[in-house]
Amino acid sequence: MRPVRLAWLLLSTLFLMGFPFVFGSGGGTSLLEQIFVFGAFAMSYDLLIGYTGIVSFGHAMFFGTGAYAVAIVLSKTGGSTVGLLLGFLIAMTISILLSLVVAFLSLRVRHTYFAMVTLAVGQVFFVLAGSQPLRPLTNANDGISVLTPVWLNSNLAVYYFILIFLAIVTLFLHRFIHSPFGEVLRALRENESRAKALGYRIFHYKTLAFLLSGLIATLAGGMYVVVESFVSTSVYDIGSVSLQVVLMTIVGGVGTLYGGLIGAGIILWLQNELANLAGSYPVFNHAEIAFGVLYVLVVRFLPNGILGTLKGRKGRWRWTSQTFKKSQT
Amino acid sequence: MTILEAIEISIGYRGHQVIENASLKLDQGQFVSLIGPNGAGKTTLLNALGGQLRIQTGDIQFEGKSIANWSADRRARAGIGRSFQAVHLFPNLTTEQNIQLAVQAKRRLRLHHLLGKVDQEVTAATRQILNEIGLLHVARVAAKALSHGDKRKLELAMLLSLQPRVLLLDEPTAGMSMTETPMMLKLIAQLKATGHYAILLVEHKIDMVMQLSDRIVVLHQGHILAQGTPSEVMNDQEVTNAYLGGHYEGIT
Repeated sequence: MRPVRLAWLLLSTLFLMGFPFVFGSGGGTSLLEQIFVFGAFAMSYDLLIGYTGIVSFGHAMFFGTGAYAVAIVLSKTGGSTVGLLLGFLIAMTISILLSLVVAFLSLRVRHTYFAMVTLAVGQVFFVLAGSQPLRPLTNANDGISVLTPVWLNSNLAVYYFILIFLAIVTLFLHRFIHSPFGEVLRALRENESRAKALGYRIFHYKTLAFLLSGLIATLAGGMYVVVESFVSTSVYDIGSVSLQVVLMTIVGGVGTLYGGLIGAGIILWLQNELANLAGSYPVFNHAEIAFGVLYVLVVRFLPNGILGTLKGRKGRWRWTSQTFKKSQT
Repeated sequence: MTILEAIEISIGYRGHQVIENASLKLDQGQFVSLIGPNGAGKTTLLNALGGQLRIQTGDIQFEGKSIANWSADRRARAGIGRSFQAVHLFPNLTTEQNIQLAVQAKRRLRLHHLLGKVDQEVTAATRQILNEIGLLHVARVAAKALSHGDKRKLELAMLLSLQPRVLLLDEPTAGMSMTETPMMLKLIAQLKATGHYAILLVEHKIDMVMQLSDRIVVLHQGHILAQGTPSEVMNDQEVTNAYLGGHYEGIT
């Protein structure tokens, strides 16, 4: 690892580890917990859109399924550790089955149809979660309040639990995108017919990307329940979850991995600030207007997102300095 | 020994018949050129052999087995390599990554590759190929930034990395400059000389076709007009009328 990169990693780790001790376990720490959860969610989405070139408008189906599975099992087991583990296990199983079914139905068709199928399936889950026949399981539109295990009762414990989760997800995704599998996914994004002509089984690789992305989104959904101790149908909402994760990824930088985390930080911080302002200025109740403006500005002025633009500039700087050095010798 | 054979195949789009009852054979180590005017169906025929297009009737056999229902990737894995008329690369990946992907394609990815690194033997094979085709100096350059000639070279190198038994080359010199074309011609001649590959070449440069081919197949309006040795084909009155404007003096 390059020294600069190592220094950044150490600094950010120290900052995040020490944050609750310096700033207390109040608003800032709670916001960071949400950023960690949605950051992991956005990075999982980037695996799909940025590394494989697949657009999904229904990624909330995984996030919501993770949240509901963990919440239901925790509520049925009285918030035990076994319940938490079982919840995550069931969530992961459902996620794998769901991604295989959706992939089988739609990954062979054109990307536009795939996006539409995910949108439709996502909406089905939204309706199911709020439906009356499923009230005994989901508590319909009233949502489920959850008891978490005793060792997760303090804000500090939740913060570090989520931080460890984020670290594992980041490490996993970092290794994956730099693995031979990650390379093949990038090849698919670049030129699918060439990859096919080289003998790669396109459908298998796309399914794998969809499955892994869905699995991480599901885990992020489960973590959301740990943070909020509550789940409602909003976790399946297209506007506030599925499209929000698209926005987070685009703002941070598609195909940069860590951009999703940056995007999640910016969007959630902005959402928080706007909610504070809404007390004095009711116009800020409509945060989506601000997000719409942000989206237009990013697409217009930073089409590669924040991290993508920074990386591009760094690349240009490196090229210029190398060319300059060569011309000097 | 026949390695690839199209048996009376027909291909059409929306009622328009592009290829009709075309048959051709490719023997091990043989160099066959497919010529014909624009719109004759040469690329369509290549697409059918490579699996990019499905045939409507007839059969395609590879080493005596029917492969008509095989997908393009399965045919590639079986040993049918395909180059395209327009350069087909991974433009934002480096030259090295492009070759590496081709080398990797021949080997199976296993579970430990999910979070692991590229195998050393893949890296070594990639460096060797880069060296052999003279692209080592641009190994870290994005494929889209290469010159057209280098892009063509890279595409051919990717194809050879698959260790194919059949090469389907669609106008490999298209868009190349006067200085780049002889380099490609030399490369293809070297491939022929190895005797490892059965090569089917689609090309408009008739002198190149004459120089390299063991056999020539002439396609005209979706039909095979003639096939035979270069001299047989060039002395065929129907061919000279349909394709060569009634006159060709390059061969006796």
